[in-house]
Amino acid sequence: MGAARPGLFTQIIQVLFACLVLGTAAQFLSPTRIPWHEDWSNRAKAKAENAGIAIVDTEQARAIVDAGIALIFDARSQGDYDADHLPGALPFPDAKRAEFYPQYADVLTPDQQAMIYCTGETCDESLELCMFLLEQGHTNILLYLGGFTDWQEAGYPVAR
Amino acid sequence: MNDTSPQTTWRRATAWVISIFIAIIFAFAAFPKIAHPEAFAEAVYRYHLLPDGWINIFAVYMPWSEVAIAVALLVGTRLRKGALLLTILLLVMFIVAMSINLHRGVNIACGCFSVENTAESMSWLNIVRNIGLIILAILAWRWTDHRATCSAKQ
Repeated sequence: MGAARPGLFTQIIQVLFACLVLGTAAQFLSPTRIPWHEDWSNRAKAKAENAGIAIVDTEQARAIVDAGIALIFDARSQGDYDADHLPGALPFPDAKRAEFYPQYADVLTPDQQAMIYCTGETCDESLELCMFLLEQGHTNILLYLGGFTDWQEAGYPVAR
Repeated sequence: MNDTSPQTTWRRATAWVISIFIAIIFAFAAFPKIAHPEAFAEAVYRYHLLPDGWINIFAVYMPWSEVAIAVALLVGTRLRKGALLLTILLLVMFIVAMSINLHRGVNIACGCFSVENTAESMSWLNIVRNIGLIILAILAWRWTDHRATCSAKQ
């Protein structure tokens, strides 16, 4: 019979040690390695700027909502939208974009101005929806990164 | 004490099959995450469960833990129980993470086998699948050293 099997704790340590060695090696050797630290919360903003998407702040968003010319799209889930949303906003869950996009075909012409928001800077559904609409040929898309959170914090009215 | 009974043989063989099965699943799951760490880190970010500073560290090491577990399960019974315990812990962690976000109503891709963010949204099926894997892991654990004992029916 071979040597006795190592105890459970030792086994776990050995497996985790292998994980540590492999992961660390990958971080130093891999051509696709990622940085140890990344500013994820500000990533949406950086990504939007890189893609050339126009970002609006809360005051500008308020002005757009009041002017009533742009279509306002809520990229969150239907449940979030139903709870409350920006006045005049239409539901357009990013996760169900294929389903919702045809419904807006007649009002969402290529140069129709639209403003998209979601929960705020921690969610990127609004950004993803913006990129999708740009791909479909829409040229006048605005991204309200502050989203519903900032809107509420500013004390602006919401609709149900 | 008879430890070459048919039951013992079958159970130990099943423990082997389960271990190999889990190893293959974990290896397949780990591959896209290691090949595309940026996309996987984004998938982790979308769960909104880890503080920003931990996301990349998790995205780097978690897939390699899947690899280490897979290897440990394939090389014999020496590290098997440790690997199975880690398997169960990982699966529990996945279940908790998915449950929290399913409860939040967030529609995000699971990130289990693909790092595309247009992959199908996760659902309760992912959780059921993980529970199934946990049950298999527990069986493999129990049957790894299976031995028919004389006083089995006490």
